[in-house]
Amino acid sequence: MTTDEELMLQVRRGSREAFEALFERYRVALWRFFRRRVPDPSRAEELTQDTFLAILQGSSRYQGTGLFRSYLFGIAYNILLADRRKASTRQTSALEGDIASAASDPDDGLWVRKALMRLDADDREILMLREYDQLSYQEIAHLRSLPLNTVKSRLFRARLALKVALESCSASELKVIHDRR
Amino acid sequence: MTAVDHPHTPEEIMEMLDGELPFERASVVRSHIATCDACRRLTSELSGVSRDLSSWRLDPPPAMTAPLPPTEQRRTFSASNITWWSFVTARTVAVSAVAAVAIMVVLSSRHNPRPVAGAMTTFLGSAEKPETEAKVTLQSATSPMIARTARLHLLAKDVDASRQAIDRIVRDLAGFMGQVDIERGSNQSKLLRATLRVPAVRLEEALNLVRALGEVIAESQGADDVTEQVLDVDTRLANLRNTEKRLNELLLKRTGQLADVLAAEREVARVREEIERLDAQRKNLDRRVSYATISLQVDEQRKATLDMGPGTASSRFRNALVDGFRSAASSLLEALLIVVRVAPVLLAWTLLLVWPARLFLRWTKGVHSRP
Repeated sequence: MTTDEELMLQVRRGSREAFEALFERYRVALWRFFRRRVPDPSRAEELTQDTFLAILQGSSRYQGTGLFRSYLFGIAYNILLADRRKASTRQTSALEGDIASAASDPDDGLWVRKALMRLDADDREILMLREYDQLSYQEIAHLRSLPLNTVKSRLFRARLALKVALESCSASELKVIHDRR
Repeated sequence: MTAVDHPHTPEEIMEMLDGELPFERASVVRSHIATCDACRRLTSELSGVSRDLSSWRLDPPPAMTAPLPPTEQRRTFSASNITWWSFVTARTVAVSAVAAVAIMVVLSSRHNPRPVAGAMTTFLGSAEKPETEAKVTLQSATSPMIARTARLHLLAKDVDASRQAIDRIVRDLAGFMGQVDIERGSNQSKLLRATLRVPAVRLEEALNLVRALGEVIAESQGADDVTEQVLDVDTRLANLRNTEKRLNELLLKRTGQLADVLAAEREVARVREEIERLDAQRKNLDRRVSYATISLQVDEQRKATLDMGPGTASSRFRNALVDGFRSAASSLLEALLIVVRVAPVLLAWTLLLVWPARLFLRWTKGVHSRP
């Protein structure tokens, strides 16, 4: 199987097939990345498309020195930040609202989403990058421009804080869900 | 947790679970965890958080098509494109494309969130390579992999008896206990929190047995489709193994400079770490699918008891007597100490004032006795 990096080098040389192969490999992971962070499913789809378009437009500058996956999520993260900046100027959404509504069923993982909202925003982002997007510590450090040890300590702190938050959320949420049924 | 008691930091347990520790270091941490209750508890807590986070499921991903390159790049894109462009003049293509785009925009505007891009993709995709349309829409050929979870909140008469029953249920169903915590609440009743892992096919049976242990206060069930995650991990694993193989072949030749060889060795180590991390992740996904997770909380019904306080009546009577004697002795000693403390001061003032007082008395007596 051709590696991501080889495919990306082929994309740089102008191969449409290589680009479609990369799109197939990462479209779901990238869509999930955005879906957990923006309230509107169609907006998540648009941002996924924007990311791949940015990859395509910047393919001539791709050097192939690092993992393609890190490169891809780096671009996705920048696009997300730009979108959040736009959203904050429009004052139409906030991250809390994004997380709270990012599920097809309102009950799905509600207690987890509520617990996540209680975390410090930076810690929450690092935790989500690790748990949901499966990024390595080094990739997160690169993405967030943080020292590796800071990523480790924040991730550890976030997990312990989330455990406490989940425990306080769980009982009340279970009751609510049970009553609803 | 101190460095004296544990050969690693708490963060290293997390790194081990995340597959971020080098293999040798991870082995050291794993063998310590096997013998240390505190570290095992932390391991279980961290795993529990990851498990809980996975209960946030997303709606299925939409069918998306790869975006087309911008106009200035399209000309250089792929040999098939060049052939396609070579058959017709640029002007004809431009006019045809604009017309086709306009038609497709109208047709697809109802469903496509990005009508222009979607329409262009559909149009050019069918012109260039019709079979890619089917390929671009991801359709997993594998059977779905579902990780099932359940949460139960019960009210039981006796938490200790419930604990034994739960052990029996888990054992009978060939499952295992993830974690068990029992604590006493402020009203003296006990509270049990446990994570049960039972074979996914026997989840319903397990839930029926557990429900029978008390009154159900709350209950929920979930199913997380991890098929995409498994495919994703498998793809990345295959990529990394391929990279590792090529790097090892490169190292065997050793034709480059020393710096290049060292860089390649570092890259091999990094790739190996990543493979181990993904392997662990893959096994974890398999476990999540084959074993369902039941998060259980059992509250004990409150039992009011007559509390006479700690200790028997005779011992309490003896203690009171001893306390009485101790208080009497203590008060006598205090009085004696006050006397000892004050007596020298009184003596000093008496000596100091007695002569002036006698002189004053004599003088006043002399004055009154004169005729």
